[in-house]
Amino acid sequence: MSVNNIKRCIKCVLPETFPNISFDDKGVCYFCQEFINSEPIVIEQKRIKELMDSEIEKSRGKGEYDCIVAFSGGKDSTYTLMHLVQNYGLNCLAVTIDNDFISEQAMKNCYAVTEALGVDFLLFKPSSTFMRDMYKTSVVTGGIQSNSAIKRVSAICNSCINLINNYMIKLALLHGAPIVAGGYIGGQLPKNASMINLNLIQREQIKKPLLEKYKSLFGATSTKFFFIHEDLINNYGKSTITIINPMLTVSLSEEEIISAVGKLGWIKPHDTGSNSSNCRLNDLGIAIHHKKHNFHPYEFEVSEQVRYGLMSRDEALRKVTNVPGFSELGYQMEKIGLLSTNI
Amino acid sequence: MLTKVQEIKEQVQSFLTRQFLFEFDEREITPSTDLFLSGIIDSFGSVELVTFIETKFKIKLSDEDFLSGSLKSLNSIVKLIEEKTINVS
Repeated sequence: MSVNNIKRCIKCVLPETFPNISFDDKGVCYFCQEFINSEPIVIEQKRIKELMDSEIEKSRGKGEYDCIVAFSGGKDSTYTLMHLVQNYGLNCLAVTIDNDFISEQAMKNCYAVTEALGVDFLLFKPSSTFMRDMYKTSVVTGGIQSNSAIKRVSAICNSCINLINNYMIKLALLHGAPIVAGGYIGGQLPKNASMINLNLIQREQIKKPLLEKYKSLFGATSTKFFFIHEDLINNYGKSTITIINPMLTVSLSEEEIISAVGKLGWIKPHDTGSNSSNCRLNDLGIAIHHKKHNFHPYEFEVSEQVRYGLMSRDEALRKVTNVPGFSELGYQMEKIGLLSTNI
Repeated sequence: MLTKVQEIKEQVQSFLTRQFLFEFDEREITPSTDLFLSGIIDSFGSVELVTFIETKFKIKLSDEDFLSGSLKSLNSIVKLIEEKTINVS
């Protein structure tokens, strides 16, 4: 079925191919019906912001850094870093993971932004061999992603995000930082994941089955990327760490975010496709996800943006119907050793 | 007419299958299956699950509820909600 001929929700853009979706008689999807009956966005954001503000105040000055920021160099994590430094005055460590596919312009942005904000910046590059194998295996082997993650993210991004999240928490434990911040926006995370007091022992318990799977698929070295040693947790001195996603407390359109971060010298890369502002591999993840599951992995995210009034339905439609073709992705496929027969 | 426990079970089952995209059956995924161990719920999923339970049933879950394994399967979740709602009513 062509992406243009699919039945979609008349309010957002979720397609009939989206897992477990249902529509009412008027063609409104289950998620939009639920949204209409939920807490108004302004009140929800205010409530989350108050919780976050209170947690930030309690955490300030407790470690070498107040906050570890997962800083991809993309527009959203750049805005997050800027917001925490300029509006909250937090002592942040900005951390970028070079996944072997960071656009040259995005890397320049990382240096320009951290320089402009005067924050410490850490660049970590895991072995290219490991990263490429991880991406290839994530595509070729089914069942790595949980079912609920399939709704929100491609298999390639899912493995990368898990690695990044784990590294950020590990760094927070090492530096005694009480907060880890991400630049996730609405739809990229489950609702109420905008601020989580994460129980570290509980997290490791949940991750156990996943870790075994990762070890068997990605090799024994994967433990250093996906596992946190018990000693590190014990030395941290408390059993929880606070994860915040401040973008979920502000209502800004993509254009407004780009305009704000532009003041720090951030320039939009032109080689990262229509849905990423830092990673050159993203489009391959999208193309494979679409081929395998028959919906674009950004459907849920842009639909949430439409519901929140941060993106027009036309713009959202433009994004999700613009599925990259494999013929344009030869560089990425070759680099991770993926053949068309693998897909 | 459904009993209170049956009602809770239906609501939780409906949430789990819709949110985590699976169906219960008599062989592979039963009401006693550990949904974390089987890879159906991940760490983000656990946030969704806790939010659902706390909002829908107006109860507060503790770390102990998680660490004791009370949230691992449909049956254990229903039992936990039943205990907590009886305790508050």
